[in-house]
Parts: sequence; C-alpha cells; structure tokens
Amino acid sequence: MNDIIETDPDQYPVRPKKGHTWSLAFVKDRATRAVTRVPEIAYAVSRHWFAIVICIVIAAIAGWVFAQTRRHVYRGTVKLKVNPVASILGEQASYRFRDEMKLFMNTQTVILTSDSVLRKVAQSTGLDTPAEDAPLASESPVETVRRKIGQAKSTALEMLDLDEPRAGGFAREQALENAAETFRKRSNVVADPDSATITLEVYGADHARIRAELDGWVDAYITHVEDMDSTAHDEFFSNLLDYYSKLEKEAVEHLDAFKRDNPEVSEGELQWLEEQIADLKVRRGDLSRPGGGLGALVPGAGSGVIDPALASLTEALNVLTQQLIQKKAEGFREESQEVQKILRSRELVEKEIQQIRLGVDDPTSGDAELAAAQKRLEEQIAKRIESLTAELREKMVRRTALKEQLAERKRLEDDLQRIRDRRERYSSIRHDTLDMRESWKTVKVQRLDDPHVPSSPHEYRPLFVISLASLGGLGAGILLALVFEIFCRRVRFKHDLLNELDLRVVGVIPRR
Amino acid sequence: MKKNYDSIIPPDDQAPADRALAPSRGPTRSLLDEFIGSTKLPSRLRRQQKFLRFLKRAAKDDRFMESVQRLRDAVLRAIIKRDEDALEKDGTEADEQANGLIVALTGVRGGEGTSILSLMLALSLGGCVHRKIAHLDGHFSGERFDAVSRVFGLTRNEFSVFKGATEVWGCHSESQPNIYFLTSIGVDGSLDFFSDKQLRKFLAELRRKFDLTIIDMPPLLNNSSNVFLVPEVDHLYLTVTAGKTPLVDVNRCKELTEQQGKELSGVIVNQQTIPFVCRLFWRDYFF
Repeated sequence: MNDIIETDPDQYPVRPKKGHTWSLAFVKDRATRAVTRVPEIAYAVSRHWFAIVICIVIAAIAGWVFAQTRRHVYRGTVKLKVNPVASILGEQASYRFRDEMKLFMNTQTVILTSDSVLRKVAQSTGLDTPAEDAPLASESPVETVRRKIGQAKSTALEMLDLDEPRAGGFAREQALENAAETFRKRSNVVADPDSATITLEVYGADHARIRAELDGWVDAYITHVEDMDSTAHDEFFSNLLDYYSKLEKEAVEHLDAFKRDNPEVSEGELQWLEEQIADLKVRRGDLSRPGGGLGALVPGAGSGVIDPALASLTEALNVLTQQLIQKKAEGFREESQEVQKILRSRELVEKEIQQIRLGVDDPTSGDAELAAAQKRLEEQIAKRIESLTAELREKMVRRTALKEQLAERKRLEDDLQRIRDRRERYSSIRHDTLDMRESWKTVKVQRLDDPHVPSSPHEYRPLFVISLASLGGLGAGILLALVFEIFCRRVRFKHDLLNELDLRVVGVIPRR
Repeated sequence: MKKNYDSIIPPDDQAPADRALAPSRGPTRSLLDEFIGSTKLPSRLRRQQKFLRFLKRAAKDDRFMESVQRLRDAVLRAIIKRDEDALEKDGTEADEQANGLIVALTGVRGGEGTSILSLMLALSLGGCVHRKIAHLDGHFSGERFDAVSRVFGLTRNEFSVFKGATEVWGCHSESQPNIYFLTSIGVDGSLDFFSDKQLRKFLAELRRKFDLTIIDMPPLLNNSSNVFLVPEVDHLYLTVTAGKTPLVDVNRCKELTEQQGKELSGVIVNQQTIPFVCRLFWRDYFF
C-alpha cells in the first residue's frame, strides 16, 4: 500500500494544500483568541509552563550575573554645620527668617556645586588626570578589563597622534572642566535649613578616593567662602542711595528757592483773599439789587443805626402789605373799596419812605425833586459798583496767581517727600542686606564628622535585581507561551477541529 | 456472580430510538468493577502492566467514565439515525440480525489511545445486555488479548467465524456474556488480515452475529491496511491527542478517508488537559 501512495500521488494526495499551514487569517484568528480569551491564555500558560520556567530561570541567572558584575558604587558622606547662630535663631524666629535661612542654605548649595569650588576639588584630588591609569583599590575583574581597554585606547590615540588637544593649556583646562562636571554628576548636596547642616555626598568606586574627594570638597568650600566674604560689597545699594541723596538735595534747594522768591504764598494768604473777594461780591450784589442801592447809600447804612421814622414807616408798610394779602385771601376784588383803601395807604407810606431815603427834608417837595434826587443816587451807585468790580477783578487775578504758586509749591514738596521715602526704603533694604551679609560673613563651617564611606556598596540589592529579573522572565515566558500558542498547528480544543477542518467532535476525553 | 439485567432491558414495543439509548440508564462498567481490583498479570505480560494500571485508574475516574459514556451516546445516536433512515426507506424496522453496525476507531500516527478508548467504548456499550457487542483488536496483539482475558476473566465461547483459512473466535465473560472479544491465531499483522479478499464476507458475518462491532484500527497514516477496511465500516471515528496531533495530519486523515469514499463520522479528542482556573468557570470551553 505504501508503494501505491508513493507511485501514484495524484490518486492519493495525502499532502495538504500549499499555504494551508501558515495563513495570515489563521494566525490572526489564533492571536485574537489567545489574547482575548482567558481559557486560551490559561491553556497556553499551563501547556508551555516549562518554557515559562526556563525564561524565569534564565532571567534570574541574568539578573544574578548583572548584580555580580555591576560596578559597585559606594557613597561617602560628610556632614557640615554652617552658621550655628542662624540655626539657634531658626528655631524661634519668624517665617521670614526661615525663608532667609532657606535662601542662605540654597546659596551655600549653589556655592558648593559651583564651578570654582568643583574645579578646586578636581585640582586638589587629581581628578583632572586620566583616571584609567590608576588602578582602584577594590577593583573587580570587569573593571580591570575596562581600565586596560581605556589604557590601550589612550596609547593607540597617542600613537596615531589623534589626541592633540591634550598637549596645551587648553587641553588641561578642558580636562579640568570635564573633571568638575564629572564630579558634579556623582556628587550631591543635601541642605537642611532647620538644623543648618549640609550633607555632602560623593559616589565612587574607591573608598580612599571618596574620602580624599570629600576632604578636598570641604576645604575648597571653606576657602571659597572666606574669599567670597572678603570681597563682599554692596555697591549697588550704595550707588542707589547716593543717587537718591543727590536728588533729595536738589529738591530741597528748589523748594527753598521757591519759598525765598515767593514768601507770601501760603494757604492763609489764599484764605484771606477769598474772604475779601466774598465781601466785595456781597457789597456789589447789594448795590446791584433793585432798591437796594438806596439803603446802601443812606447815611448811617452799614453802621447798624436805623432812623426811627424810617423804621416805623417800614413797619407800617409791612402791616399794610399783610392786610392787603389778607383781604385778597378773603376774596376781596382789586376794585373793592377795602383793597383800594389799603393800596392808597401803601402808596403814601412808600412815598414817605422814599423821601426819607433820598434825603428830601421837605415832606412837601414834589416829584421833580424826587426824580432828580433819584438820578443822583443812581449815578453814585453806578460809580460805586464800578469801583467794586475793578477791585474784585484785581483780587481774583491775585487769587488765581496764588493758587498756581501754591500748586507749584505742593509739587515741589511732594517730589521731595517721594525722594525721601524712596531713599529711606533703599536705606532700609541696604541695612537688611548688610545685616544678612554680615550674618553670612560669620559662616563658620564645622565638620560634624569625618568623611564616612560604608563598607557595603550603595543600593546593592542583588535579591531585588534577581526578583525583578525573574518577574520580567515570567512576563517574557507568558508572552513566549502565547506566541507558541499562536503559531501552534496542533489540535488543542474541539473548536480547532470544527473551525479549521469542519470536523464534528463526538467526544472529549480528559487526561488521566 | 452474574447480575440480573432483566430490569433494564427495554420492552419489545419500545421505539428503536428508545431502545438504543436504553443502556445509558444501566450499569456500564460492571466488568471493570468486578475484575480490575484483584487482577495480577504474570511476569511474561510485564509490558501490559501499564495497560492494567490505566484500567484501574479509569475505573476510579468519574470524569473519564462520564466522557466515555458521552462518547457511547454519540455512537448510539448513529444507530438511531440508521434505524430511522431504514424506517423512512422501507417502512419497516431494520433487520438488526443482518445489519449490525461496524464502528471503527483509528488514530493518526499511533499513540493517541485508540485501543484503550475502543475497549472502554465496547465495555460501555456492553451495558445494554440485549445487544451483542464485539470488540476486535485490529493490531492482533497476543499479549494485549491475553491481558484482557485475564483482567476480565474471559473464556472461550461458542462463537467462531472463519475468514478464509483464519479462524476468528470470540471470548466473553460469564458475568457479562453479551460482550465478545474477538481474536485470531496465526495472523501476522493487520495488513495480512485486512487485505484478504474475504474481509467483506467476514464483516458481513460480524454484522449478522453482532449488533455492534467495535474495531480498533491501526493508525490511519502509518498502516496501509486501512485502505481496505475504511470503505467497509459503517462509522469511522478518528482519535486525536489534544496538544500533540498536528492539524495537518488530521486534515490528511480526512482527505484519505474521503478518497476511500467515506467520511469521518467524528473525531474523539483524547487526553484533553484543562488548566486549574478553567475547571471552575470555563469547563465547557474544553469539553
């Protein structure tokens, strides 16, 4: 039978169709089911558990190797106490002082990490020389190989003459800058404003070198602080205060000159002038009022002495006027005898009053005389009004000028006050700054302990690395199991037979 | 100790479909229960110890036996369908004496557990005592038959049929006499047996004498004898191993069967594993 199959393949095409094994739709369908269906995932994990275990083991071994071959980094620390007076005040002082303390500590941090300090550290500890030339005290085999490679690389560069910049001063400067930058990357400053302490941290591979670097760092910092204190000055505020003092002096001179030139300019003068103007206005108004001018020109007017006859007549006139009003109110008409009687009596009384005001002694004088007297009086009133108006105009001009002068004086006084305020404010700031700087000048750096480098490496946690790697291996193993399952071309479930080959499954027997 | 199966035999006036499903209500592993526990194989049958251990475990595995019963029901539904088709065609009930069913179980490349499943299926079908069941080991393994006869206490019975010059006789147990285990002496292999011209006559004789004949066929892709046997069986079930049998091979079996003018009646997925978490919520996804 086997011969038949081999000799007549067309009759017995036992091979599947080409392309049926790996089709995109098949892989897509498997991938969709494997990722979205929990049974498929669980089946993949349970079926390929060995691959998962292998992945975990490999990852754990890799993690262990990584933890062992990783360059051990040690952390050296030294704690400094700066400005002990400030720390005592810091516990009791206000928030403002705490803010200043924070500012102070930040300043110290900036100083500690400044280029000048770090360059001094690099110079004092020889960091600017190539480090690969000097072997480390506790050097691992990997580090030895790394150092040897570095040496070979330097030698090759020298032989090829490609390392020219190393020869001049620029190269030395560049090396120093690089060393300072490298030291900045592997160092850290932790400032505590509450306790006024600064912790310097240096990370490295060699205990002795770390200690030397910490010592050099502290020395460089102290030296830099001393140099900085001696050169501290407040040129800015001094210049500012000088400028405002000059301005103040000029303002005072201007004000004095104005007062000297205009001694009469004052608020009292203006007030007196205002009163005069008001009096003139009243007098002119009295003269301008119809009938009022007579009274003003009557002998004795304004002196408070009133003619008794004129007073009785005026009173009689008032009584008649009241009677007239009363009659009209009672309903009497204008043509009635009572009203006409009162009107005639009023005319008589008014005539007598006018005669008295005009100075006509003869009560029997006629209207012509009265008219002439009236005319003379009006001429006198007109002349008087004209003189009063001229006087009033003069006073008002004077008042306007005085107001302008007062405004000018007020402006000068305000300028002077503003300049004085500003000068005082800057002076206060200057004093505060000087006080602060004075306190900073008294920075006394005190080492709380010697540079300390623990014997155990910094953050050396092999178990953590191995655990993390194992976890990654687990994830990779699950992923690998899913990939295996996606590309698996074997019967896994009854759905595979039904979906792939359209075969009916009559029974599924569990594994014993 | 012979059990009384009269109570589970369905009445004669019952419909064929009901009679076919009747065994599901009766005991299905009587032979396993009676002989497995105390059977010990001699040293010359050392290689069958694994087979014996498996039978012991299977007898205690409820889930496994439940799956076998489900498989048995599927086979019986095929009988129902045959009887219904016969009723529709002739208007009379099919002659069971002349038209017994030949059901064959085969694997893909071997190792799928076809022999075990066919044996368990025969035992399960034998629970219906009013039907005569025959189990034919297509591998004709003498050691396996010897172990089976010792495990189940088989004795040679009156059944005997000649396929040409080869005599095939059936053995059964006294406690369950309706299950026959067929064997033959002098057969070199399955190819020698099934490639004989007398195969069709032999199968007709089996159909005449048994209601159901379960044939444990050799693997479909590894043995050429199936080319002769596949067209003759009524139902062909393919056994595959979950997670092992390639889909390409199954497809090849399907095409090979179609070339013989038959269709696979169904596939039995054996050794299906289920993750622990899936046993709680997604069991139906697997079974």
